Amino acid sequence: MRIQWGRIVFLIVICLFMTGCWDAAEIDELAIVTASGLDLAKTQNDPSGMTAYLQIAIPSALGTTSGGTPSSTTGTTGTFSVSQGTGNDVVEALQAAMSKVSRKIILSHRRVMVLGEDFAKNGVGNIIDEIVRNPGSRMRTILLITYHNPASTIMKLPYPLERIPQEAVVGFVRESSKMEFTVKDFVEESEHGDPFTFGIEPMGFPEPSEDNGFVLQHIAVFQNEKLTGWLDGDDVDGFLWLRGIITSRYSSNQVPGHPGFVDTRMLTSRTIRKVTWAGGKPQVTIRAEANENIVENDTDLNLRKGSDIQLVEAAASKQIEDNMKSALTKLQQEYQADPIGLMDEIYRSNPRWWHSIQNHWREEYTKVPVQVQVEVHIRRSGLITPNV
Amino acid sequence: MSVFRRRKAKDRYALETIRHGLSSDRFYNKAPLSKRLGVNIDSFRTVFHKASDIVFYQFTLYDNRDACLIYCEGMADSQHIDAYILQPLTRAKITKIQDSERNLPTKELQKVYLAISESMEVKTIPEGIDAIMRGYVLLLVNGDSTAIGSSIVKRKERGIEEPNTEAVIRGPREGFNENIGTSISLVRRRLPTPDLIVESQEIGLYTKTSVAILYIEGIADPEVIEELHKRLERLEMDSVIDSGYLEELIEDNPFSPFPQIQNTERPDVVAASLLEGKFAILTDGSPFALLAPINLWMSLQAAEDYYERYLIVSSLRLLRYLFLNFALLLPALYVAITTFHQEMLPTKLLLSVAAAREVTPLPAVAEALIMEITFEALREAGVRLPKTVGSAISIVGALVIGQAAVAAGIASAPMVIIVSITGIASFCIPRFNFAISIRMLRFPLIILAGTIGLFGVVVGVLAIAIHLCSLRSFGKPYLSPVTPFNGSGFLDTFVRSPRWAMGKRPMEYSKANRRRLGDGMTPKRRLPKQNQT
Repeated sequence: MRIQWGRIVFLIVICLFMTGCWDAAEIDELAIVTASGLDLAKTQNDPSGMTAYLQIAIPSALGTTSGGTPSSTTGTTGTFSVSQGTGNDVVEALQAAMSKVSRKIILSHRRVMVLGEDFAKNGVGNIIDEIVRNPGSRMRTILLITYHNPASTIMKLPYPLERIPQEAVVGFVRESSKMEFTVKDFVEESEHGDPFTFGIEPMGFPEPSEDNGFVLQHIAVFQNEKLTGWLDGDDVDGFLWLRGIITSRYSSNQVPGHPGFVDTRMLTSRTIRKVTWAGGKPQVTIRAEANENIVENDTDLNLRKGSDIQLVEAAASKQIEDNMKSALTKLQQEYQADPIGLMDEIYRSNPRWWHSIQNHWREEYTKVPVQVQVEVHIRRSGLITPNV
Repeated sequence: MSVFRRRKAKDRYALETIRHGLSSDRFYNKAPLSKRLGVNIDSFRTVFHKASDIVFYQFTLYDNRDACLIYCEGMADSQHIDAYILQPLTRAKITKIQDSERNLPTKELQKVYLAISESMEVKTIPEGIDAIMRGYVLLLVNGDSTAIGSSIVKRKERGIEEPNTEAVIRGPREGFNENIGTSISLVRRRLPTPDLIVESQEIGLYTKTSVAILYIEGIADPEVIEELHKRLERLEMDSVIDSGYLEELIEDNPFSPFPQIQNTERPDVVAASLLEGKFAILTDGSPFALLAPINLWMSLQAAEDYYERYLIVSSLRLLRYLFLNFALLLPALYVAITTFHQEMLPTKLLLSVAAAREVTPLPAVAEALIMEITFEALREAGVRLPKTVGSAISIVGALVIGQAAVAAGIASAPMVIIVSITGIASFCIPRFNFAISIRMLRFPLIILAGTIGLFGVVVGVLAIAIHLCSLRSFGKPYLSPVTPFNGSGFLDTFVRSPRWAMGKRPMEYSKANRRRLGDGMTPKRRLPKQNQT
């Protein structure tokens, strides 16, 4: 039999062209979602309906279309458009928002998911499930809760430095902690205790303006999947210390008996948590260690002297310790939430005991005595002379 | 398969006609020369009646016999004819001649009077035609049926120049030229040993091209040499103008896009390859020697790799491998990722690409194909243009595919970048014929990428890999020494190992006589002896 190879090859080649590129989507026919938001909204059918927002980048405003330098449109609303839709559940609201966009939506570049405070208080389980389950959206989406605001205010807010606001969010998170605060982290944290994440708020609150952008300076504390409270100010630092995810930062310390401030810059930090047992009851020791440099000294301390350095170390330790204790009290007593993962630590140390109190672990959690130890080492004092 | 049988029969018929076309065979098959000069001259005149470059010079010998010189003008040096043939044969007219010197047969004439080392006896007309066509001067004497052909061949030949196709920064700058004798001597000068075998033969009924096989006895694999002999003996062809004629007829897989025989203009490359157990084929009239067996990795080795220090060379080689992948895959990956897998791009890059593609009317596949084809056309146009016009082409090319297409919104800037990187990448491949095949293969890959995305690219790459695994060069696996693995050869593939580490010849080409370096050749750090004064 003569095999007509020519015809066979021809047919195979024809097949290639006949596929019609079913999965293909030209890049210029896509709506690239950079961030999305969810708010509670009352609909006719369901009083707990929700509104979804999609922040879609406008590429032609972000890059160059015909050579030359890209247009410089950072920090304006011109670089993105927001589409919104309302529905009974997440998918319905998203669908409603998507149907208002002329292009095919891709969620794979969504780095930020903003949830309204009200929405978060109502529980975030369904949206987390959507992000984790939908292969189109990525688990490394940063999850944020708006602080005392609906998500819509943030969705429409540009950031002055960045061309698309999500880059600012990524930058904030990277600069302030060792954790990424993604949905993946959120899910993992809820396995170890209670989840937590950053709160986002317009800068210049309570009078936001478009020129100011937004800022991430609160920690949203959850109980299971519901928002229960906020940490702010020094408590945020204290919490980051307790978790051991604090990054390099400056701090001013007051040394008792020496008026003025000694400012230090933290270089490295380490937090060790340890569970000890006394009389069948757990006791947690959280030990924080930091290496710091002195960057400013306007006291009368002589940093050439070891004893004076020790004074600074003690003062710095004291400050960190205070922050940690304050945050801990708030979490244990006020919110009764365990974002630090203390109970997980105890469980790992003695699973049997944990199982015995499993049903009322929150109650036990508030009673766990926590000891905080802080050790700060001053590595370099800069100029060794006294204050100039 | 009946198809092949039929084709074979047709070929045989064609060759018969070729042979019948040769006038020397047709009319004067083995016809001996006559004793009468006039008859012989007439015979040759009939043969060469339309060849105006054949000179018939009739003169009288010193003993008053009639004689005739027949030669091809331009091939024989006329000054030498005067000095070494005509003068000795006629000078006796002026001086006194002894009786014993009269009526000497041509054989004796040659011995006594002609101071020419390379000469031949001609007894038949075809032999005579052959000799004349090769540039011999044929001496016919009345009354003698034996003619003498003397070689005073003066071939115009190009000097030994630096090879254009394989320029080096460091290393010998000699290149072969079109004269096979010169070319062989360039190799012989590098390998002055009787173990260097030079086997000559003639191929081509019309061209009668000298073809020489070079190999080193004791190093080259005898099986490969035997195979080469078989493949050359099989050849029946009317002409060999360039070594490329032979390459196509003796390669293993005629349908493969990959070259299975390497060509080179460099005698140093030939010498080094012979020492690795390969053979070379030199063809008269072509400065390109053929080298085989080869493997894929040799296509990414430049002559210079062995003259420069190994660390530099190894990093350059890794660079070449990287850019080989770019040349093959970059446009396909770009098309696949931008049309199917946008999630693979970083957001900022995606937005830049999206912005650039915003105004372009064509889908990415079409754009890629058009731009790549335009680039290929530019390159092709540039190769053959005179240098003065070449710059015009490059300006037009740069403006058209670089600037104007983007400014007019017909092509996107990222595509121009991709095309230029691909272009540069393909020029990083040292062997031109290999680079061409890589450039060709990227078009099917672009189409696959545009239809089924990365999956298609993977399918395409796998198909190429499977083909390469099955490819052979004179029976040697094309991917050796990587697969099948062979340690001594592997040292000289992705990186070039230092010379002191490569003590053995690559195993796949030479099985015997494998050591090429003594023991303990690794340089040791020695402290200079202290001067004791």
